[in-house]
Amino acid sequence: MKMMNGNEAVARGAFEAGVKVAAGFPGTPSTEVMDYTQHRYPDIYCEWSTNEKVGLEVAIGASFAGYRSLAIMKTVGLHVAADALGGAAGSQINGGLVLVVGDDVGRIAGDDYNDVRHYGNMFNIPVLEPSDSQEAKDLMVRAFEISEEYSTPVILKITSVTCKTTGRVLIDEDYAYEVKCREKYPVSFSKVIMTTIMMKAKGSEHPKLTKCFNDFPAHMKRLAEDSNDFDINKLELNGKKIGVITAGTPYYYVKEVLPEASVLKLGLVMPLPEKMIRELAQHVEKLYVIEDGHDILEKNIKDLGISVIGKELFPKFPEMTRFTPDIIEEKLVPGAPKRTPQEGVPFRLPVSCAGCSHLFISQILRKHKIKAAADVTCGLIGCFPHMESYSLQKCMGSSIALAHGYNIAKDHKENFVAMIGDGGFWATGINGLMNLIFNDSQSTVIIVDNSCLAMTGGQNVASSEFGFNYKAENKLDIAKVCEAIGVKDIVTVDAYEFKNLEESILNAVNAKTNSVVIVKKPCVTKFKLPKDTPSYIDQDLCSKCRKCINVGCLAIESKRKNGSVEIVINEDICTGCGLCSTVCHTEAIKN
Amino acid sequence: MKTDIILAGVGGQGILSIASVIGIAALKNTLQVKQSETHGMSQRGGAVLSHMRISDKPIYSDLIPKGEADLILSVEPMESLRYLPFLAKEGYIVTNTAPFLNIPNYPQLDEVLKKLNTLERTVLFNADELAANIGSKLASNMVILGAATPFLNHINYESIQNGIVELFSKKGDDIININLMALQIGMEIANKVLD
Repeated sequence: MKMMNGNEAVARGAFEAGVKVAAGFPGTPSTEVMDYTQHRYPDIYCEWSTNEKVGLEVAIGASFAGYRSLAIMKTVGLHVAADALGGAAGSQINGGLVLVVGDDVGRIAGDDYNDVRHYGNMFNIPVLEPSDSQEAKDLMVRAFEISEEYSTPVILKITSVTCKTTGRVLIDEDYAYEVKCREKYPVSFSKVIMTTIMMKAKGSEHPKLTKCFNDFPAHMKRLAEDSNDFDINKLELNGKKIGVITAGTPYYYVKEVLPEASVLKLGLVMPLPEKMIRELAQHVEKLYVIEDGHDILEKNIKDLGISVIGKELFPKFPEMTRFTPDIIEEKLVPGAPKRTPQEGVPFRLPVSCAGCSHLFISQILRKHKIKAAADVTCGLIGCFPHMESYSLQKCMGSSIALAHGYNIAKDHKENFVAMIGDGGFWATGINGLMNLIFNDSQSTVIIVDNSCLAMTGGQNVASSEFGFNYKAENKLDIAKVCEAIGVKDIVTVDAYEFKNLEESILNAVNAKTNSVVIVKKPCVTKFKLPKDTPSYIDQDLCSKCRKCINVGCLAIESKRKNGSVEIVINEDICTGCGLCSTVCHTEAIKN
Repeated sequence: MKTDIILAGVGGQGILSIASVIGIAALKNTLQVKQSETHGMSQRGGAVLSHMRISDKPIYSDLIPKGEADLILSVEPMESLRYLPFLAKEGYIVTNTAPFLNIPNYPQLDEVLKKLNTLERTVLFNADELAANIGSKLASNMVILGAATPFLNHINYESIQNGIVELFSKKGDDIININLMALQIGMEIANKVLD
């Protein structure tokens, strides 16, 4: 018996399933699946790939080699990898292929509202969803069995709730790792063979062709049929008034709030066990669907011709981001108390860590009113209104192409700058850079090299000096790659050399050529950089102009007491980097 | 018998260490435990919330329904107010009174404390000061945990001590001892208030 959160439990499941290869890309909430796998189970080969698509392709290759393989990403990352998944879906599978995908249910970790189950519908592949840590481990093993038995990639949907909820998990402490290998098919092609055969093209009867044929809709049909007898789908027939079809954590909310209800709890959420659903529907007066995320179970059940009550009673986003026991109670338990949220407690806006290199860049952009696009990095905090350093920010790796698009539309009369982190650069940003070079653009790119993916907790990237498979001779060099791509003007600066950094950025922006400024400073939080003497504010000199507050540093605090304001620096947090003193007009900030 | 606890604070204040210590102690007492976390941008000063449910029977929901928490344990005063709707009628609040001021619209501290003081069952004190007195501001989370120990029903003080020893075992005796000292100070404060 062990206490494990969902991520730990999934990693344990991978170990018990005999996985050989795990590849993926960090993304909250599922990043830790890889971290735990690597640290606890060194028998499993792990890699952070350059992006999710690459990670999934690595896993697909390893699966074809016969070994059970795992791809780890968040749903936003699966959008990047969707093309690879489309290729694997419907093709023959040797070693089980499972995608562990983290959905940000409740928008807890970010600001997206995706639902990975759409990919199940789109590609006709199975999706499993655990309700707690124990199931996360068990379903992981089950996912591999299903992948091999029904020759299909399988998605294990975990969420920001299951990933971060800790509960007891039964494990066999003496379990011995055994790698599983199965080389069933000598070839595996994406659906082109199937199309050829279906169209009865000339020669489509050729045995070399028919031997590659994978009738995946038939596999899925068989799985749907078999799933009526799966123990991971549980039909609990109780009271006849209320029936609920549910999956994931909402199952437990239903159990807590509606102990009398009859419940169909799905572990396999796609395809659906039609017989079980019909049995429940016949048993109860009213049938509800309680599912987090989009109304996918609801639509799929309605497609079977079974009527259920779902979003008409429980409206989805933006009215609701996730189920809680209270929401179910309010709608389905007569006389439930009305709960009101606490008022007057402000939201805590994110701020950058003290001493973060992004703060220096944000400050320079703001100071010189340089228009810029941010990427998905810790620096995106600079988009918030208290900083206002960036005017455009979209997905991971996008900023370079965004800036290029803006600049060509404006006939290069402006220089709209791109800021990107090292993770975003290697993920897909490098494509944007190659693109702007060979399309003869003249944009400026600021690459923030903090030697890791800081936002997800400091995982290694291609230019890091650490990592699962790190070797000094294999480390990629951002400046050299930029040079090889053909960037004309490349300069590397230390973030803490404020004057030098300011000058370098201004020179690059004003140069009539494409340019890259590489800003180096290891992530202060990941690498626990040594601190300088903390700064303090001389209250006699402080004019309360709040310019230092707008730097966006976690260490600068504004205290209100009896109507007056005092700006102070928290000496426990301050790293003494001195950035705030560069904005102070009264020289009140001292070391 | 169940104990539902809301753990609250700001990223970096050590809320999850408190949860780990209670979790270890509960498991040693062969109790069921479920603990959820929400911490979007916690390393960067965001609000952190953890629902912790302990019971001698199976626990279904990881979330405590509103109005059912036996205890709000907070390392920051405003954060304890944020989760008031979760508190049961007979529930207690144990909170640090030292604010974490990383937002410009933080309400007047005396107003926050006044609001907390109007509630009946509270243990309010400045844990940062007490922790600083024993030489480690970082241990203020364990001071708060100490003050919560009288409310942890089926987990006794000794189990919590053992939890600290286990959690910090890799960090050496000095760290263990300072955290145990912090725990003791908190426990004494709570007992004084309860008398």
